[in-house]
Amino acid sequence: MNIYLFQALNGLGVGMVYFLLSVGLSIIFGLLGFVNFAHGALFLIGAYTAMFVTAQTGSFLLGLAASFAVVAVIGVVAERWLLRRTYRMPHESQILITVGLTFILTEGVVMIFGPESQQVPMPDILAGVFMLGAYPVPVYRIFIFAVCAVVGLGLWFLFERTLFGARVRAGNESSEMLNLLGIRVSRVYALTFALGTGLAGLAGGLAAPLRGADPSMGAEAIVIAFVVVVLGGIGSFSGPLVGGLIIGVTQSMMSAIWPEGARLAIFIVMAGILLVMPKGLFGRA
Amino acid sequence: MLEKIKHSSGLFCLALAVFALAMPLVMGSTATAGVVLVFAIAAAACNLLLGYAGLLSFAQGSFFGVGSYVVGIVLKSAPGAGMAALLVCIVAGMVVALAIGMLSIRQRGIYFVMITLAMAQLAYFAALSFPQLTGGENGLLDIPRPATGIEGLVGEGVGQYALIAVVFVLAIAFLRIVVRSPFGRALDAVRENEVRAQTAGYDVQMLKLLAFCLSGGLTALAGALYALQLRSAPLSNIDLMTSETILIMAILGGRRSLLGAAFGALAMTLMAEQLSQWWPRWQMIVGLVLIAVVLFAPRGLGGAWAHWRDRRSAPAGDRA
Amino acid sequence: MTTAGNPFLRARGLGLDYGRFTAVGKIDLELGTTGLHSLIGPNGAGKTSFFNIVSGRLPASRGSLMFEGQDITRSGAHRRARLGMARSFQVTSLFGESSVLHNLQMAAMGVAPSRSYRFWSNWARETQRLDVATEVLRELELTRHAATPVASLAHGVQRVVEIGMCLAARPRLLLLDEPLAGLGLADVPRITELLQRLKVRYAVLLVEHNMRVVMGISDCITVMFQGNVIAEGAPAAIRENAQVRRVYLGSQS
Repeated sequence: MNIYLFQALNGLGVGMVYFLLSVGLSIIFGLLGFVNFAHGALFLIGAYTAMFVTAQTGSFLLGLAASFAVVAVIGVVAERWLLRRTYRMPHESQILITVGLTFILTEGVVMIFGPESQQVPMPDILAGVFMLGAYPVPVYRIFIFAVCAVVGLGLWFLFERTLFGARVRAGNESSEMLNLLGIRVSRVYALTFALGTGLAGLAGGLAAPLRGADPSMGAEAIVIAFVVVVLGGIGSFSGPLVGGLIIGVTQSMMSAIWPEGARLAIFIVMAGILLVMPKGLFGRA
Repeated sequence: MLEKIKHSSGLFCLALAVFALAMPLVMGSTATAGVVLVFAIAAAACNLLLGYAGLLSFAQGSFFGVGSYVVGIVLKSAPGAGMAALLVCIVAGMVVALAIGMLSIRQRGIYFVMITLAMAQLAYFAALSFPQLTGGENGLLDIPRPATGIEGLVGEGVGQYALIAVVFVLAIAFLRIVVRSPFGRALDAVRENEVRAQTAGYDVQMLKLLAFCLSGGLTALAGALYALQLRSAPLSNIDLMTSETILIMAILGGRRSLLGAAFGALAMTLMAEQLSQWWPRWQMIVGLVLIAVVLFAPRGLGGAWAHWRDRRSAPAGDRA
Repeated sequence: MTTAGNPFLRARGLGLDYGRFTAVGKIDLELGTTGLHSLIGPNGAGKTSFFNIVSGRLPASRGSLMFEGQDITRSGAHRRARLGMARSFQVTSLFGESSVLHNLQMAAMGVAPSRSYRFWSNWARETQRLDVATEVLRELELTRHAATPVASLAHGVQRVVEIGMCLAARPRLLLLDEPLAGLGLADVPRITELLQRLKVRYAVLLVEHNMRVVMGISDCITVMFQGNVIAEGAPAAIRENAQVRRVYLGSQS
């Protein structure tokens, strides 16, 4: 197995984190028509929460759970008190408000934890390597892959097989209809928001041991999330998955071929794909 | 009084000139006053896109950065180029806008916004990836300032400020002509009802692209002036924060108000200079202000004031 | 109904699919330079979809469309407008914040392409479109509403402005999508009388549900059902057509 194939596999792991990060954005936009620019800041908060809780309790699993839960709560609160007012506003206003929210959240994190980047220790059982032939595969990557696969399957099941999921998909088409059918739309919205934002937090928690926690994570994350969603197509579920994997693999492979250009390559690939398929890979009109 | 300024070109230019003259007094130095004017140009160029064409672009920082880099590259290799370097920057900005525009403008609504964001990141990483051109992390240093001819009289600082002030007045006056032209009205139509505009015969893509190019060229000009002011073109000129800053300035002042853009730039610069000394987390306040403006004063500070004045006088008639 | 040789507008095999759903099958239609041709059919027949492909709002999935001998099948909506096709919408679609006069001026300017790019000249100084707009106001008896923002007009008046937008473009072909939509009984005669006047000067393709009006003013009627044409002819013939009656009214009548 050559280095590129290895890097590609590596990229699948990164890509799964990107998927987790972006699927929430896509769901929230698909259901609420709401563009959540603060999604990156939520990723950031997830990372810091995982770090904090793991340090306090000694349990990484608890830290991960907290990264989901805390961010989900923040998401619900923000939706209830602030973002709900903006549903009738044009998308531009929603973006601008969530930009403002991003500033507030990011500065809040720095206020509590300081501006320097911090190491987030990996739990010992996950810190080793697994030998795949001649190549050491970090166990943590396998862990990420497993977690994201489970979450992905869970989401699929939730949306395709449960009543809640049916309501969300129906609301995607017409929230008015949902209302008329007597379903408490505000509750569906709140739960969806909690889920979407919680996933971003979880992604942050998973990413934290890999790259540490630092305040610039938010800005990087939101751009990646947007790229993945645009690439994959808004409102879909498979879109962020395939989009995330493509971006992850591109990034990983490029870091072997042209390290300085690895980040640049992501955007070139995106631009290239959009030239040919303006609505993204799985986009609906 | 603001109504009178809105309707008379002479008074408008006078207001611009007064603003430019007052800035050094308000800010305490020609250097920081120059920063305000530079960003006023960028914010006003952003108004053209946001308030008139209805395009929310995160790529403004890319144009700003390109202008900075190009002026640096040109003047470092040909210091005698002088003011002509500024013209080259405008063209460079327009070319980059054309490239980014051709990819993004075929998209509508939120897709457009996301792509401009991605393009902005592309530009940032491109700048990082080609340090031979851009100086990479450090940026381009020691950019020579072109002679303005009056340094002997007033000193270099004032001479440089005079250059920026003149360009400021010309650029914003130009934008005023643009928004009051048939093209400006066509942009309004596209923003208000794109389907109707298309059906009525307007080539919506072309109009948006042209607006994008004009905005890009002027923003690049602002970036060039900023680089001259700093004597360097740092990497930060092309990063996302610059795009966000320009957008916030445009919104604070009022999406459609060119004079408002100048005040938005002033407000942001004051916040950055003053607040940051008092509280390192001053950007949190910027976030709060932004949210407040969007929720409660969507026409920005300039618009809210004009609105209050309008309600006290006779109802406004036809815009033509 | 049609002029021999070169019809003014000719659709051949025109159709539209939304994915696997065929909204419009294969339509042949011809229009002369003047006269009113109505398109009727029950809901879901594909009338508005057909309208959309004729006006260029959506690209056709198959077939061809010729306008004055020119193939416009792939042309965009704005290009068709400049060639002389003007379209009104079933749901009023105007520049809501602006006055009636401004709306009409914008419609007049839209078909003079170079004007819309002049970013250096002064809007207020150009009078051509103002003249056109004023004339349309007079023709439609809207002069007293000139300065009113369209959003605050009564629905009936808005529908007149909607047609005015077409006229301001000085078109050759009018595509009117349910101009009577939502009108109270009092407003119907005004629009009907307007249509009578228009069909003498322009080619008009009309989609309407109001059968009395359609039967009264049409020179030719095409009946659509589930994406295809099931009958075409003069109003009297259509009225007697058994298939049409079945499709619309069930088998008693």
